[in-house]
Amino acid sequence: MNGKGLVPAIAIILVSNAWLLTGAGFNRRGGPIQSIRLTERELALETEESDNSGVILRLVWRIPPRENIPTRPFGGVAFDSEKLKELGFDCSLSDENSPHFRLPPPREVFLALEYEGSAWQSWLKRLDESRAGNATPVSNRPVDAGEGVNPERARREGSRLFAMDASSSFEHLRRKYPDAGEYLIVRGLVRAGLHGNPDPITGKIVNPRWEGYVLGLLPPDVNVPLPYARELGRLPRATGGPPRYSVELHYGKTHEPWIGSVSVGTQ
Amino acid sequence: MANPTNRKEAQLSVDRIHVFRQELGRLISEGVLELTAEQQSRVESYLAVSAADLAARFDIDVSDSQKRISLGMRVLSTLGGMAFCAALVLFFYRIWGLLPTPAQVVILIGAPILALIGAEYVSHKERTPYYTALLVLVALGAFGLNLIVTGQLFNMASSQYFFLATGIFALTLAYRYRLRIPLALALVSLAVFFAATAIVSGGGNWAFFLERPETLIPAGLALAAVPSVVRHERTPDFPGVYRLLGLFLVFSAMLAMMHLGQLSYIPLARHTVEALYRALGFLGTGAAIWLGIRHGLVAVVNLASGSFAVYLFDRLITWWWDWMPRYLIFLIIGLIALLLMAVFRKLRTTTRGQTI
Repeated sequence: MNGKGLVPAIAIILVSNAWLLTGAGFNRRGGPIQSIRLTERELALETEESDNSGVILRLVWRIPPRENIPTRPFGGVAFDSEKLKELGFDCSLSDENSPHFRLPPPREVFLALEYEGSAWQSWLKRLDESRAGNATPVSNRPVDAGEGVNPERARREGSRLFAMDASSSFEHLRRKYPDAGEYLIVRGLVRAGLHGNPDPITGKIVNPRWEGYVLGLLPPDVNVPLPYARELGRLPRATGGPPRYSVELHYGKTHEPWIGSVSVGTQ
Repeated sequence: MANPTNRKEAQLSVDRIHVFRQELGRLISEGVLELTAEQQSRVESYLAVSAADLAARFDIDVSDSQKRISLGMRVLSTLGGMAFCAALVLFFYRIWGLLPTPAQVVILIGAPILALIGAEYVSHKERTPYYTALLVLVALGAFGLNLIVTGQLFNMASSQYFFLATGIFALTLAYRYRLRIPLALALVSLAVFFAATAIVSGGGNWAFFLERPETLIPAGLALAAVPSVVRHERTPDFPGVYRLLGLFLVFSAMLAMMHLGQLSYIPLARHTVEALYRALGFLGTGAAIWLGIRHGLVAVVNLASGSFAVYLFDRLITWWWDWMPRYLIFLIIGLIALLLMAVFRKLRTTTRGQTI
């Protein structure tokens, strides 16, 4: 057997892995650029099927409620046309029927996620007002918050992580939100589109405007390595109640997360 | 008889011997040709030795039943390779939570290398590539798993470079072992990489490359043009794969753009873009049919003819659906199908005897 023919193929495997591992090492070199401790409310334990022994935590986030913008699919509107222009979307045409209109593909941006801050307080306040009948119900359905449509359950168990702002520059967001303990800056995807209200008679969309929403975070999940995986893997499927663990999450130079520590027990 | 240099040529030679033997027997039995017993014996002996020699050198099929069995083995090796890939992926996911990260990485890198060593060993032991093809598919699956799971282990966002790496890897294996399925996988991966890179260069996210279908058109054209630039003497099956996959991407993307002008990069009005792609679609399939006939590329003629028919029916339904009775639309489509069948039958006669 002449093994020389294998050299190019094995070289591709080794170079690809070296590229990946160097990238992972570069991300973590010099320590994290931001760290935050989150609980089960924001980092949900993914209950995998029996064929998968891995443990994954899913980042759970939501959009802050806004008075003047109605709810849209995928969790509500996050950004208006000005913000979308800032993110690089071409919002020059506001008529979908215009012959030169082009639907832009989603863009990768940085998102500022506020943890247990003003958006969370405002959300609770609106919830109280809504229960007292002083305001319209909280219309902005939480995104991936795990509590379904039950606001009381959201208060007890839902995520306190709110997508507040976006930018194409990490540094810009960090300058705007310098408190790394309260604001986590992560990569995410934003989709932009034209929306408006249908005319009750003609059915045509009137006053269409550009709106953007967060499609998801990049990456959406965090892999849990050993020995933390063993501790979290023992926990049964979540059935409600106070969070059962907290996780220190680090982000590195290339904005990829990793787990710094895990503390299991009622938080 | 020219000396065959590969299995495909050897198979053609044996097939010709088979046909010649049948025709010779018919001519003799009908009295058209008279050969002495000694001449018949010499011819038969020569043909038998030639066929046996080719069969021994290239392990080809010398009878129809052998051909059917070979086809079954090809299907089985592909299905077996896919099943082994699935087993590998599921087994890894079953155990990965029990392993520390360094062990996971070592297993992920080691699996495709082991499969490769197995493919190399088997390829030297067998002259027919069935087991080699199976192990090459396993190596491809293991390499894909390697890249995806390593990215997951370190929480890296996915990127289009996955398709570049798997495309080059599959291309290397395809040429190393002269296998068409790895070649097809490589070409699809490289086309996706090209389209995804185009969308990233415009600020979009790579995963939404299908929102700009026309990026697949230059990629498909480039693939279809490869056989004109690169000679494939040792791999005579490969030019057909390049042409068919390339043109399939081009014609599929054109069909999408005929309806989705708002997804175009061309700075023209949406309806103009759609009209442009309709014209290009008919012209492109017509040109491909003409080129296919001229160069004896039967598969290209078939693909282009099929695409032409799809474009035509798509247009007819779009134009007539709202104002013509449905039965009339389908009656006209049926009549047009009959007309096209007559045209394609004529094309088939034109390309008769061409083997590519």
